Amino acid sequence: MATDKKPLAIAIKEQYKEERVGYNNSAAPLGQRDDLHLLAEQALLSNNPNLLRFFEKIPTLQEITDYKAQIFLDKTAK
Amino acid sequence: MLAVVYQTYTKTCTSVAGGISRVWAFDPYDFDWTMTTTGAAPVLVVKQYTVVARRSGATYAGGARMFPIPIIAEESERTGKQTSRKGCSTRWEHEVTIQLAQLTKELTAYLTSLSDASCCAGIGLVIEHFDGKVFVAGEYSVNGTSIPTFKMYMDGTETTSGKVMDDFNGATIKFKGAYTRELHEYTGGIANIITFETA
Repeated sequence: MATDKKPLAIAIKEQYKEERVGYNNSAAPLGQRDDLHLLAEQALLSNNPNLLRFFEKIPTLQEITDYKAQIFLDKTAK
Repeated sequence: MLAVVYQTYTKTCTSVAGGISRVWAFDPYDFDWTMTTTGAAPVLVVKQYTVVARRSGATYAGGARMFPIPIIAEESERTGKQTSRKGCSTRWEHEVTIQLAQLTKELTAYLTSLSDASCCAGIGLVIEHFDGKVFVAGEYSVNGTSIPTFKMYMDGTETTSGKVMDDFNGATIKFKGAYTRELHEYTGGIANIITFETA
């Protein structure tokens, strides 16, 4: 059963949209990534200021966990 | 249990391959590596680098990039040798050996640049094995903070013209450095390292 996917409150600061960060097998510019939740997760778990500085808005770890669960449920529902 | 909590090590039953596939050099001050830790004793506690990003102030235009080294295939290796003083103080001697072909003015300039870098911040190395594992040596910044100094530098390099036509003509470059542990693996994907060559 597909869930109503709630959008994740996550945003990259304007000045870092072209910044490249290597993770999850990609180093595409941050403004083009569709997996920012994974970077946010790494940033929060490591408390790395060099990663946290990229975010205008960053969700909590619980929100990211719930979001990943939604993605999984949507995938299995198809 | 009473003195120490041992950890379980299991090896996935697959074949492996030896040797080094590719090597990149970088300025250790340019990149920050994010470390994640999984597991809790007695399950193996594993640390790995999962994210690599330029540090604040480092830009591609300014030279903060990954520099591929055109090594001769199947002539490179890295080694780590551990010693310990009465089981407590531990030292790891790391050595990375690569070969570059043909003595030229460009190679002379490159070796000079490696000497210069060795005297300054040291040389950061990303080493890809033929089995796909990627390791980092000489890094400076982890999780946004500088770690205790891990300096890799050129030491023991030899050049030769060879004697006969099919002898090796070029440089055998050695990078050495001592640290408190084996190298950490980077699992964020080799495509990222390649991207940082040109972007």
